[in-house]
Parts: sequence; structure tokens; C-alpha cells
Amino acid sequence: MPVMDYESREEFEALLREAYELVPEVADQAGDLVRLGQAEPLGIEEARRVLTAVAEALRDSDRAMADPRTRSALSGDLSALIDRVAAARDRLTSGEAPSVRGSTDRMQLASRENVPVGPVFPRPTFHGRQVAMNQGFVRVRDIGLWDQNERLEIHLAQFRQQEGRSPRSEELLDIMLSRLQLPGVADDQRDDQFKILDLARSIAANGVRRPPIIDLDGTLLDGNRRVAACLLILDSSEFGAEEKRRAEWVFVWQLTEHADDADRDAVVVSMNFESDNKEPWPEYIKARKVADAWQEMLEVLPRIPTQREQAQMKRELSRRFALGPDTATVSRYLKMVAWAQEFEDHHISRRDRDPYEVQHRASRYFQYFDELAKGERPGGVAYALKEDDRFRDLVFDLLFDGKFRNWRQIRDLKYVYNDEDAYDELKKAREADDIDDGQEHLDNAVSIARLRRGETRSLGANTRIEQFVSWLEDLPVSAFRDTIRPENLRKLHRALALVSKQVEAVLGGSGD
Amino acid sequence: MADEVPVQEGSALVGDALRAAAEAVAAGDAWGAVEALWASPVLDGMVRRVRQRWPWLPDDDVDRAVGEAFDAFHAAVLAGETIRHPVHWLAQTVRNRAAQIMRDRAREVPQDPGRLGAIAHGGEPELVLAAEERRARAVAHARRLLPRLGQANVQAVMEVVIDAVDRQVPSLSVVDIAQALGQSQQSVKVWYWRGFDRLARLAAEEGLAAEDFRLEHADDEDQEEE
Repeated sequence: MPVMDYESREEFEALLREAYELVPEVADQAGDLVRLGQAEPLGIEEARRVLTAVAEALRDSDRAMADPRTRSALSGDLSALIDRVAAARDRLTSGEAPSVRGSTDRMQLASRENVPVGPVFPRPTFHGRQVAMNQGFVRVRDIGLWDQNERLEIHLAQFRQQEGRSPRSEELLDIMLSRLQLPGVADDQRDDQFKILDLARSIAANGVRRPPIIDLDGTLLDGNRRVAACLLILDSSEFGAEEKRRAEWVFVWQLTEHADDADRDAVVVSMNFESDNKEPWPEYIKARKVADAWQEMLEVLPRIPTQREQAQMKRELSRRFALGPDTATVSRYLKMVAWAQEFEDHHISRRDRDPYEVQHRASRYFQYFDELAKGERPGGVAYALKEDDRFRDLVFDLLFDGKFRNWRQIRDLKYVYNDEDAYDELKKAREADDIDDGQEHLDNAVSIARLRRGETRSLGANTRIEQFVSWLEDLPVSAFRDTIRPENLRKLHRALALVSKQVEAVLGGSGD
Repeated sequence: MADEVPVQEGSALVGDALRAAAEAVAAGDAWGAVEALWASPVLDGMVRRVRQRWPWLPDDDVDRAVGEAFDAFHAAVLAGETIRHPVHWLAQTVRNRAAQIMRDRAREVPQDPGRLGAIAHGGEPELVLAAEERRARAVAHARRLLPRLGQANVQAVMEVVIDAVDRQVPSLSVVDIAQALGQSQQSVKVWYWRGFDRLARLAAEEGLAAEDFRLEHADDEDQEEE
């Protein structure tokens, strides 16, 4: 019996699944894809990106551009085209989907992430009154912001005075995001009066942790800021695909059909007027608590837990620390804390810095460790940092000195690491005494690496063709008769015929 | 390719979108097909599926895989290839392209002077080789188990399938297998299920797969009819 390590077993299982899914009549992959796409449709930014990638691939293809309709569509302003196509589906889907809101409609809750729709138990109390609730998930875009929110009373009155009507849902969002400027708002509050951006960043990292409360028809009774923050995540380029996915669906509590106005009032008063007087802990502190608990669990085990046991342990931790129905936050915290500890060790042991000063920095930049922990496979940030101590030290020094402008620059480190010139700029960023100079060098490093990466991709075709031609010329003639399957010969013939036309078009009739 | 559109259930919008996409590609209009398909959730599903399988793959590589798959799809149609199940073909090609991009990216490393340090310390190239070696060994194990699958017809079907997955064929219809082996489609379907059931069981017995490993049957009741 062969002895298989974990990765080899995974590979074999993957092979079997791939083989099984190869036959469409059996695997029903098309149906699965449709269901998956319906359950988790692409956000608008994701959609634009994917459509752009498809358009660019086709635009680079002489074959596709030979068709006059495709050429006509893709020759102009790609960005405008993508906007038009993306908007077309919005219209289609909004035309097809039944209305989810309205005075007589009930907003349906959905089960997700192994959390079934069901009653909230024990029954929650609002303003001294027990109110029956159901729990489940709804799509954030299906929830309308609450236009009776006292928080917005002045803004809403101003809007009505100016426009002679109540704001539509998207205008309410603009007000909450301070995109719609109204007279009288203090200068220092014009950028983000309701602090939605900070909340969005928190939600992007952790998901929505306190369920918004909706009425039976989806009217939002509590959670305007959380929903606005989710909508901001979905629409803003600051947030990546994973964060957008996290914000697309939100876990909510919903009043039941037995609720009366007294129940609604109790919820609104309790959630919007009564403060819970909590000042949240810094995430760094919370994550360390989770990591400490994880260590305690590991220490009492007789052996290293299996993957399945680890998943179960993480579920327990997630429950214990009220981190939501899945273990994503626990896993993320554990990785972040591991990187934060590396950061602290480096600065305390090797740079001889004060431990408390280092911990303050680790706390301040804690979200950055989330990005550092990503990409453990070749080509990823975490992989590069683990592979090369000097690179890791360099990044830790830059982080301590505050020379990263934002966490997105961490993502680009994987490209910087693979580019000598960009790497040199990174070193200059560390050497710079002035933070602004350092940030400028770091910007340069990222720009160089991105530019070079684009060039490398286009150069890849030449390398591959050279290798293939060399291999083909070395192949014995008998291989065409004895070794290569007829279907592959036909494919090769088709490809060469296709290429031949392109070569003649570019080089002229001789092909020389 | 417009003759068979596999997704019949669900929204009429899906079926209409697939038909419109098929017609556009058949007419040579690649972008028209994309626009038509965009009206359905198929493109969303393809992206989500790749991200589920390889969550570490950067977004722009996933997007690139989708883009290249569409180009390949268009090329295959123009080349006269029979694509019986376009959605399945596209999804499998997106997956194969994503896997290929990962391998290509890893292979680019040795050409980069900045990575020489890592290579000297036993870094990426070895890992890539290990991954490819693991894959080759998995295929070899699957081939080794074929004679133990029982009935000769079951072995023949499974040999075709394992060969196809090894060659990264995007899609293999029951019709194709039936024609290749000169058998009826219903028989091929049954042998296919039996073959995978036995292969999965043997794999678990030999420790090649987890004890509780199983493949989800999309249409179990058909198996009972045999």
C-alpha cells in the first residue's frame, strides 16, 4: 500500500474530482455554475474587472478582431463599453427579479455558511420588551436605507427643502457617505461625517458583527451605518474582491409577522437611543486573546491536530469569542498575530527597540499583518517574506517607520520582490530619513514592479514559442508516425494553419 | 455549438442568454457572445468556482484565465471543433487556464535574477516540480488501479477519462466516449459511475484518498435504472 502524504492525497482527490467533472452529462457543472453565480453574483467592480479582462484578451486576438462586430465593439473606449455592458445586466436583473421590498412584500431570509434561517433564541429584549425575531442572511443591495433615521433628521429636512422631495435610496447613501454636500456641515466633517469609511474598513476585515434589524418588508430599523458601509465596500475600489464578497451578504435579525408597532418602537428606541457604553478593544488586543486561547487548546492535545480537528477547534473559538458563524476571523487573527509576533521579535531583539513602543506600532499597523499573511504559495507576499529574511526585515523596518501609505502597497510587495530595480527602491525607502522621501521611494518601487510585470507577461509568448519551436525541431520524424496521437496531429495541423495565416499577415507572403 | 444548451432549468433568462451566446459565437462575434452570456449568472459562477478552488490565486490572474478561456472558446468554434456543452467547456477551460497560469508564474521565477537567492535555498522551482511530480504520480496511481476496476467495459471508460484529464481536455461528452468505444450512451454513463465508485473506494482503501472521500453524483436515480 503506498504511503501518501497529505498533499499527495489531496492531489489524488483533486484528480478524481477533475476527472469526474469532465463529463457534463454526469457532473452537471453547468447547473452548479448557474446556481453558484446566482447565489454569489459578482459585485460591480469585480464584474467590470472580469469583463475588461475578457475584452482585452479578445482585443489582443487577431482572430476575434477579424469579426467586424467584435472589432467595432472593442476598438473604442473600453471603459465606456464595460460600463454599458455592466449596466445592461443591472437593468435585466432588476426587470426580472421580483420586488423584495414594499408595503406588502416580505423580504425572504436566506441560509448561508451553514447558518439556517430560524428564530433568534433566546428571544431578545428591546427597551424592556421581548420581541420575537428570525435570523438569516439578506443581500445588502436588497436592503433600503432607512429614511426615518433620526441621525439624518437635519440632512433629510435640508434635502427636502432643496429638492422638494424625499431622497431616493441612492441619495440617502450619498448623504451618509458625505458625497452629497449640504450647507452647514462643519468643514472637519465634510469628508466622512458619519465615519462610514472606518466602519467599512472594519467590516471589510471582519464582516458585519452586529446584525442589522429589519422589518418584515426589509425596512431597516437598526444598522443604517453598517449597511451604508457595506454598500461603500461594494462600490469602492479601495476594497478587494474578498472584502467585497464579505460585504455582499449580511446576517440580519427580522421582525416576525406577529410584530406590532410597539415592538418596532421598542427596537428603534433601544438600538438607536440607548447606548451600550462600549468602547471596543483594539483589534490587536482581541486577536492576541484569540491566539492565546488557541495556544492553550493546542497545549493540552497529545498530538498535532488534523486539519479537520483544527477546523473544529477554530469553530469553538469563533463561538467563544462571538466572531460569527464561520472560522475566517479566527484563522485570520491567528495568522496576523503570528506575523505581529515576528515583527515584534525583529524590532525588540534585532533592532533593540523598546518593547512597548514596538507593541504600539504592531497595534497601529495590525491590519497590515492581514495582508502580509496572504499569499503563502510561490509568488505570494507571505511566501516571499518567509523565504528571504533580508526582505522580511526590510518590510518590517518600513512598516515600523510608517513608510507604507496604505495596506494595498503590501499586496504589491510580491511584484517588488521579484524585480531588482524595484527592490533597490525599497531599500532606498528604508534608508530615507524623511518619511515623505521614504514613501516616495516606496511608491517608485511599486510603480517599477507593476510596469515590469506587464512587460514580462507580453514577453512570455516569445519565450514559449522559442521553447516549442526548439522542441519541435528536435523531435524525430518517426514520432509523428509512431508516438503522436492522430487527434493531436490534427490539432497541431489546425494550429499551424491558423498561425501561418497570422504570420503571413504580419511578415508578408514569405513568412521570413 | 448551438444545438445543445445544457442549462434548461431555472430562469428562462439563463437559457436565452446561452442560446444568444451560442448564436453569436457561431456567427464569429466573440464579444457579442460575451455580452449575451453576461445576461446570465454563468460568468459569475465561473469566477466564483475558480476562486473557491484556488483562493490564493490573485484576482487579476483569475480574470486573465477567464479572458483567455473566451478567446480559446472562440478559436475552437472557428476551427470547427464540436463543442456540445459550451458552458461546461468554458468552465473547464477557465480552470485549466488558471492552473496553467499558476505553473507559468512559478516557472518565470528562475529567469528572474531577483529570485536567485530563494532558488539557492531550495525555493519555488523545487516546489513547482514537487507539485507536478505529485500530479504525475496521482495519474500513475489512477492508471495502476484501472485493472482492478472489474468489468472490462468499466476499465475502458475509465481509461478514456483518465487519459483525457491527463491531457487537460476541457470537456468530454458521454456521446464522445460512447462513439469511441462503440457502446450506447446509457451503458457508458453507468460504467462511468461504477468506475468512479470503485476507483474512489480502492483509493480510500489504499490511502490514496481520505476514508470518507466520495464524489457527488449529480443524477443518482439514473444509476438505479440499470
